Amino acid sequence: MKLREAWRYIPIALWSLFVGLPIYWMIITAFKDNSAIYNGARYLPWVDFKPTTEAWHEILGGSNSVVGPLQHSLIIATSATVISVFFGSLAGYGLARFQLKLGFWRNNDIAFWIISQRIMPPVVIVLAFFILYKNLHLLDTLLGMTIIYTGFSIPLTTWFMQSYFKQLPVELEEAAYIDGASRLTVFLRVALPLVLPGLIATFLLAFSFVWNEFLFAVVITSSKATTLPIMIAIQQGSQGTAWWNICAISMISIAPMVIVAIFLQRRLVTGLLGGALK
Amino acid sequence: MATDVSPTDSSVTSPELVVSAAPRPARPRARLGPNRSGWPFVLPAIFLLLLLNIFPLIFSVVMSFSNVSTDNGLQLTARTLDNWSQLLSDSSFWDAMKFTVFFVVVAVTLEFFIGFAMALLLWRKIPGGGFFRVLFCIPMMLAPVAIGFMFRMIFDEQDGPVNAILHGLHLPQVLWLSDTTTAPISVLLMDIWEWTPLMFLLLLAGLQAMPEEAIEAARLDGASGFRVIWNIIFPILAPISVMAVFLRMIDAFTIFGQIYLLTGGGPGTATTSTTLFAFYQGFQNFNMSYGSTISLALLIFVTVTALVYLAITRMLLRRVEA
Repeated sequence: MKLREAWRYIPIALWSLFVGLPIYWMIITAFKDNSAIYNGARYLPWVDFKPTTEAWHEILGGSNSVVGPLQHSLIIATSATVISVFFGSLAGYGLARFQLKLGFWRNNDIAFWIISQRIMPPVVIVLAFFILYKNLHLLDTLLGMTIIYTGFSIPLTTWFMQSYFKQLPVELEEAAYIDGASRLTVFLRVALPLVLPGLIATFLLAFSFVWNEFLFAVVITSSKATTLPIMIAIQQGSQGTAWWNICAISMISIAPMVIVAIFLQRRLVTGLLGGALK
Repeated sequence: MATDVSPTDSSVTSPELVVSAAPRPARPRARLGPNRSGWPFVLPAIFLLLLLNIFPLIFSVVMSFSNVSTDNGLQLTARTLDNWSQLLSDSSFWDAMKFTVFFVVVAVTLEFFIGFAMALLLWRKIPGGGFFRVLFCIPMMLAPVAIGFMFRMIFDEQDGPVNAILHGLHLPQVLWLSDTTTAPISVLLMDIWEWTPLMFLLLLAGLQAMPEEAIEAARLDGASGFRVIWNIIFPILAPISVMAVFLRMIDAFTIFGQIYLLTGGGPGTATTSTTLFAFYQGFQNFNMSYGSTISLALLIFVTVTALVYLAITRMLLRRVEA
């Protein structure tokens, strides 16, 4: 890089400061206690304040354990994402590969009907779900949460999977049909493996939405199915706000995302076909 | 290049740019024989959507024309248009809508331009580029709840680092969260912090899918940096920009968790978004029917805005590509 291009680092550094400060503050606050939080800002561990792992002891098995909500979050997010990616892949494949007719509606109209549900603000259905769940005794259950998130994720997964299937060359599937394979076999054995990177990207997007979602969780759950975002929110109690716990739980809740993103980064950038047709 | 911007057109909305970052050749849709039906693939999803999205939506409409409280559960009492006439004359609702629209317009605009600038800066390989790319993407992976709390610490008027730094620089202290003029700005800063990464990521993927020869050729012709951006990069990025802004816009309209924990909608109602207002009406005033009415008004507004946006951008895209 030429020296006269070094100016680039000035805006990059300014933006990094803006992005980095809240992240840095979260990390150091997770190692603070009461005395280090009040009476002025303290920036540097060991210099400004004495770091402590009290918060981590408390949330990892102490009085304020994060284990239950973490399990709930894992169960709800994994099952809702797997189910919605499965049905989204099926629908995306049907829309990308077959001519559908429903009265005046063709593929594009059906796809638009599905995708347009992504526009619906969550608050529209959350009040209805609250009343319905109250009568069905599904409030504060893992099943109830999984059902809501599945329905809410299907438009996104269908949309993404459809565009991945559309860019797949059709020759391999046609060859399989000539060999006498059924629609389902071709879908499962030929098409789905070829869009694996896209499938993973779709899974990640849907998972991150469910993992971090707050509105449905705060309305539907109260104790038996609370998720990590709720666990973070309730640290603000009558005894004052436990900032150190909030920061420690936030770090735990972002960990899977960062790990998965780093782990899959190489996977995601590999080409879609990997030379299957060459 | 496609000229259609309807969300069903994969060349505009294609998420594959994020993944493969390679230009996609146009392929004809396959016809796998007329005797094979695609309905078994599509019907399960349609059934689930009818059950889990459309039915609750209809139920919500029914609620808005009746009187449901959390106590009487499913007992609906007909109130016909009461909720809707209350809504139209409710100044708190219009204040919430005004704040939401202001928030969406300013936040999405700034996020787009900052994200675009950062993508341009980090597009070609520079030392440390990989580190900055990862750093810039962390905010959008955090839970909205965590972000709300983080910015409450950052903006704390006594013990937060921002005011401490301002003090160190001999600048006046700012009442970030307790003043009706600055609190909306704090909410904007929080959202820009959280969602500029999405714009950055999508536009960066778009830039990387762009043929570099086009830019080199223009450079050799002596075009200035600004002209290259305006005449070559911008038209190529137009379709993905339209999609990125669209996605961000419809999500920004429904902001809830971040504001709920940063300001709780205050001071007063200065930062109450429409979703927050509907939530408070439904679960603090226990007026579920009125909460449904507010949320449906938001749905109507978002739908109309989305359709207008798609119509306008379709026209603009045609002009860009002509």
